[in-house]
Amino acid sequence: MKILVVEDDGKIYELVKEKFEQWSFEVVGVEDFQKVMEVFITESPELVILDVNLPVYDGFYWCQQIRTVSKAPIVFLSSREHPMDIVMAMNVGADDYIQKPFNLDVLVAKVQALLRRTYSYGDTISDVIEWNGAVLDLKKGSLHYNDQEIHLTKNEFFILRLLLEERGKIVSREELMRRLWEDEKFVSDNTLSVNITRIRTKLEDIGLNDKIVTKKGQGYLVN
Amino acid sequence: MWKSFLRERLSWILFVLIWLGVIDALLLLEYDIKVSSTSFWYLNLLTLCLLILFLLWRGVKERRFLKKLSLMLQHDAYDLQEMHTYVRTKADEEMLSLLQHIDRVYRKQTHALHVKQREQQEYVTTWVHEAKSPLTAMKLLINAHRTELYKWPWLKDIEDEWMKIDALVDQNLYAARLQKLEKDYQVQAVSLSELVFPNVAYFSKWCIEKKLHIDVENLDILVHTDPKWMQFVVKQVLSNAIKYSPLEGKLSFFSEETPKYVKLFIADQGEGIPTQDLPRVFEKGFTGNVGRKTKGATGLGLYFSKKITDALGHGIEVNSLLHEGTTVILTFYKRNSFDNLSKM
Repeated sequence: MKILVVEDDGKIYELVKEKFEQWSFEVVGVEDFQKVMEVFITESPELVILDVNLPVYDGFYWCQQIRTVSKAPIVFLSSREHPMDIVMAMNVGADDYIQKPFNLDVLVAKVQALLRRTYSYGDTISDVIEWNGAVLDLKKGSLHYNDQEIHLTKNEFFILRLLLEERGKIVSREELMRRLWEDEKFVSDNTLSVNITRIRTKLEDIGLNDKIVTKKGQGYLVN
Repeated sequence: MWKSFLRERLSWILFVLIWLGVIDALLLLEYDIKVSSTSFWYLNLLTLCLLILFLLWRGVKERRFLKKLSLMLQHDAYDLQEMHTYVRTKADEEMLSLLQHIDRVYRKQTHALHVKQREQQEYVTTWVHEAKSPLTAMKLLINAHRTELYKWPWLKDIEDEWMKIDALVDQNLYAARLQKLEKDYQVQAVSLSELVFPNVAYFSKWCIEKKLHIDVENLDILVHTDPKWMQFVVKQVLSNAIKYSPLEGKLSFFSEETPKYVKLFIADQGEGIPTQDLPRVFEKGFTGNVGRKTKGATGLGLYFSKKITDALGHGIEVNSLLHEGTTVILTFYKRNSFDNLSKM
């Protein structure tokens, strides 16, 4: 899957590129902002991420140009948050509009959803995370291992997914809570402990013992 | 009006009266002139009647212009052009041209100010959008390294400072936009949770550090409002609530619905506001004692909130008990569609 990111802020471009590459997307950028169309045509990406404020022409202009030749989904990234800007973006053919400052996870999730809807590549886009023979189904929110299946609650699924995404790294309790809160799940410290315990019990039920390691004073580690 | 008119003409009236008196004296005292008493009284009465009629005529004519003018000025929308039809005397004409001149000068000045203000506003808006780009980059950088916080403990402090700058930049944008709020809003149906949740998520770092407990009840109710503006208001209220909350305190969000209104309550367990300070919390620049002790209280948050809720036709009030906590109540009145239309 190839994504074209049209963003003139170098740092933001780098970080977006890095994140999408982690999710095994191919990311291309634009160097000369007068030649966005040319890049689009030569690269023919499956999806475009467009900044609104750009040198030479703005994102609305490029969106219109792209729409004359392609139906590829277009996501706007912008610091303008006036309802009129959003209406304008949709009118020139955008599929989504994300405001700066944005969260990279949210951006990835939205892009994946758009790609699923447009190309119905349901299975080719990583909708599962594979982990030592176990498979976490991101759509159903369940975990499969040795023909056994366990169902996870929303919070449990969210926590396990996060730990698996950061595999090999220690994730602090604070970070876990932060991610949960940013997803509008305002859990307390105690609730987090309860959730972790329940995930462990459920993993043990299907024979995955001691998979989540507690690092005293630092956080949790999954290998 | 008549009184002032007569007082102004007093010398003329006195002159006519004295003149009449002199003639009377002449008629009575001069040896060679003989008039009957009937003729004498006839002359006096006739002169007085003519004087009164003359004054009435002049009065009506000369006051016509001024009367119309003052009537017009009572209503703010005056039209000096229309005044030309009421001009009767040379004095009227001169006064009118003078007024028109002053009017032109002031119109020119206010127009120049409007242009300047609009430019200023546009500048601030563009500036904020430009500033959001580096702020976004900074936030993404911080997020990218958040899982390795133990390596860079100072990253936390940087994120704190980042949040302060972001809040100030936001405030700047809304302050610039506040002046044209009357025209710049779009009402739609929003649930209370849409106003509250994104803001709690935004402040998650701060809340988790303070180990705050979030209590949410009945926030699925829909209200009619402009979500952008009201999210901003909730953000101001919430930032205060978190700022003044004690460690491990509780933040409660709940609602109350009646046929007439929906109320959103945002309650903290902070220090509270002294009763004597309560009436002043919406004043511009008012920070109170606790605010003065805590750095970063600008005294603008609640001032903006009040202005915005007023403009949108909602209510905002603050209840507080010292040492027990503060509750901010946002009231969304349910209006029929006709009221809504006439408000727009």
